[in-house]
Amino acid sequence: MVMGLAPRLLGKAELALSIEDLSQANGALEGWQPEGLSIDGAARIVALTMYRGERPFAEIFKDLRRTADARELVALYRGLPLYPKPESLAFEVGEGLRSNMLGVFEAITQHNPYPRLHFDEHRWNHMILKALFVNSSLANIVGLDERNNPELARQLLDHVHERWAAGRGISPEVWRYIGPYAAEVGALDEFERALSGKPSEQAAAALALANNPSPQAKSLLAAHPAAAAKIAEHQVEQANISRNEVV
Amino acid sequence: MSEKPVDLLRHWILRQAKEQSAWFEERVNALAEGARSVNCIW
Repeated sequence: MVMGLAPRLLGKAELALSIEDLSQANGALEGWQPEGLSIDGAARIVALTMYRGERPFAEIFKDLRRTADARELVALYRGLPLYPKPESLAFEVGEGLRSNMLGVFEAITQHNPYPRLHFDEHRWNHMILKALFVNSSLANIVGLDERNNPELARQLLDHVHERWAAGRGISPEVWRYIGPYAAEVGALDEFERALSGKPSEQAAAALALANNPSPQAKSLLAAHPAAAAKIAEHQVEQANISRNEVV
Repeated sequence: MSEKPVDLLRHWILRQAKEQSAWFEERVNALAEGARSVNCIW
């Protein structure tokens, strides 16, 4: 067991990465941000990439998943985009997505380009909805705008309806992904309500509409001049929109 | 030209491992010679 000693010999601290390191990571693999990865976890990932045996790598991954503790699972899944034949790990990734351990789910979904590169639309949309369900930020999911799609917008709109019907708040993050299809999925009334809601909702909805070039979106935004002005004056940026204030 | 992600990871580990970097480098080089079983990796 080459890496069984890694935690004892290398420690369990996070890799100390500079801004330049993170920039290099993104240059090597777009969207890959290994911040927060432990040094022993990184060592295990490096070691796994060296595997050249005859058994399919997916079987190796499965064996490891079944016996790994929580920390090892996180490391195992954070390495997804670096392993040989990553597309062969679809079943194993599904198991990770179904995990009730948030750390495992986020090892797949946060700062990891694997979903953008290898998920089909159904799995992609399911991941986004589960992220909302477990209150995990959408902001760090790689490829959100690129992989956004009308079916996801419909599902997010259903999510909005369900939350409102239950008297619950919603993550302001959802408006960004409904926004491009607001007219197509019939979400203009919901945007109207959000534009009259809490400041965080107003800002997120207004920003989403501002990025939609359709006449309906422009007209709706124009009916809310205060919110529109904040967007025009760059008082609201996408980076300010978070899942905060979800009730 | 960008380095491969795994090479970057290896570099960062070595940088941080200090006195244990030789141990890690030796193990990784041994694996590169032919890691044919998961039992010899994980």
